[in-house]
Amino acid sequence: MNTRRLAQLAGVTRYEFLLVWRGKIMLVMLGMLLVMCVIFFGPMYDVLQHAQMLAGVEAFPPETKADMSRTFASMVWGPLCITLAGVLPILASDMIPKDRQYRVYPLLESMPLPTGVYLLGKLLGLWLSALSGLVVIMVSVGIIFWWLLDGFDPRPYLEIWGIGALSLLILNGGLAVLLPCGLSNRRAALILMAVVMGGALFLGGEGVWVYLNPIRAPIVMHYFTGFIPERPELISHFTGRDVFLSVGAGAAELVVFGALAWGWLRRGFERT
Amino acid sequence: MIEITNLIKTYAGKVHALNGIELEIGSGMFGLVGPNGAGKTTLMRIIAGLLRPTAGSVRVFGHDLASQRGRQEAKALLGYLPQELGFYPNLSGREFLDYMAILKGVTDSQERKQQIGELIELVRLTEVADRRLKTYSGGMKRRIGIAQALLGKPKLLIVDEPTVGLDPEERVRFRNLLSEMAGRCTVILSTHIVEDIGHSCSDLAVMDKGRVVFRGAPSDLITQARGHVWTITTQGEQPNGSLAVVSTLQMHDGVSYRVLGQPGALYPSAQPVEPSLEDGYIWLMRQSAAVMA
Repeated sequence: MNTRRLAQLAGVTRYEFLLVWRGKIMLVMLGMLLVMCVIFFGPMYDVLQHAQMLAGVEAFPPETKADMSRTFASMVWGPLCITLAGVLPILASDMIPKDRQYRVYPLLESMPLPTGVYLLGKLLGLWLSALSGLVVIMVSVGIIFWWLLDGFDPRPYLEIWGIGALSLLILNGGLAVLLPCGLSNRRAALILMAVVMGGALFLGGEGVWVYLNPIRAPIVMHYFTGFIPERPELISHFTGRDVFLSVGAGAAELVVFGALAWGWLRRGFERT
Repeated sequence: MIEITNLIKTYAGKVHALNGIELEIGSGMFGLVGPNGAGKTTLMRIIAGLLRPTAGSVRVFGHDLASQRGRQEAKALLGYLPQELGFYPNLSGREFLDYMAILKGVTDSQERKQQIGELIELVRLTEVADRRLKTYSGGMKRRIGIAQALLGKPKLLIVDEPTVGLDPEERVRFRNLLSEMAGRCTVILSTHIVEDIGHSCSDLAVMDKGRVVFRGAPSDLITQARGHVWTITTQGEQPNGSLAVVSTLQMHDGVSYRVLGQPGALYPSAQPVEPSLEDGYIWLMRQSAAVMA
């Protein structure tokens, strides 16, 4: 990639980042996520106090604390996966259609801007804007969690964010940019993604489909339950290997839809 | 140099927008004028590489727009102001220009900053440059559009109906700006405001129903109407239907009509007058309509 293309990529990414934040949808979505996480603190705090009272101790022993750390991480995962697997794909679906709706697209088409750079810039813009917000929430919730437990094992907490949340953000955020790229307005894009995600939820899946389904059940379910080895009754049948397979299948999906979107936009001229 | 050969564009539903356009456009300011639906915007969009012609070819500074590579290279030389320009409402004027400059390939941030500063001053938006575009008036948006077209020092500037939405003073300023730009690059100005062409172009084409019906200097267009423009004063009754009324002026002793055609014996008091560019244009369109009928 030459200097001009790199500068164009950085430019599209930077301004998409700005536009996502200024559009306020991301702010609302992440605000809701933060609120949902905080809502869980109430019962969690009550449970902790009750447990402490029953045990008649000032502080929990390390093994209890480790169990609580994982349970708490799983509790945060609930709102997190709903937001990233279900809400983000719908709310971020207008990344490309908005250019047509605002009638900026003809101007962009008149620039020496390669289609690949445009698409990649859109993807990076969305990913980075969501990631920056998620990092803030991760740190805020982590601090509260630390305060509640008087210190905790950060590994499970970091794993749900670093593997679970990041893969959902990249895979489902990416689909939200690529799938509606041929649509001409935001409403149509929103409807399309709502139908796709609703359909995926309704259809569920068996065999290979479970890894290709954008609901990403192996990732979602693994961090809900399979994540707590000390509580076998909750262990999901989705293991770490299933998470890996789901991420791989999602990445392949992204590559295929990326190639289709690239071809569709690039051949826009031929269709005129 | 822009070379257009036998250009045809047919939209779905067999709508013939362009019917065999042949044009060569050299340096300086070139005007494209015609009624709504004449095919001006279609031609502009094809030259800008946004629209695929049905047949024929377009070469922009030697780059053939039929190939992807040719289009990319031509776009790197282009400044384009579309008829309906959209914006990101949540960016400020300065940010929008910065974004567009990056996309045009102005990679050096210092150069970009300097160009943007100069253009913002040129279009007189200094005071509002850091305000969000959603707060701009129609005229301000038009001026930002003009500024973005001039970014990157284009070799070819395509401006489609640029003065729509500008107040008279801004229109004059913008015409002068385009004339100044024409000293440095090729400017193609499309408009249906004949006055804009007359004040700034030395070469023009008139389009009607997808064809070029006139190509030459504005003075040649005026010459065509010579001997066909008259003033007739009546007590209020409209001139005969065979005459085209160009303007009407209420006088204290009646109504003075400026007409195109041959008043003949019906109006013995008709006075011949020197034609304007607008007269030439209307005369040409009447002739064109008669030929096509």
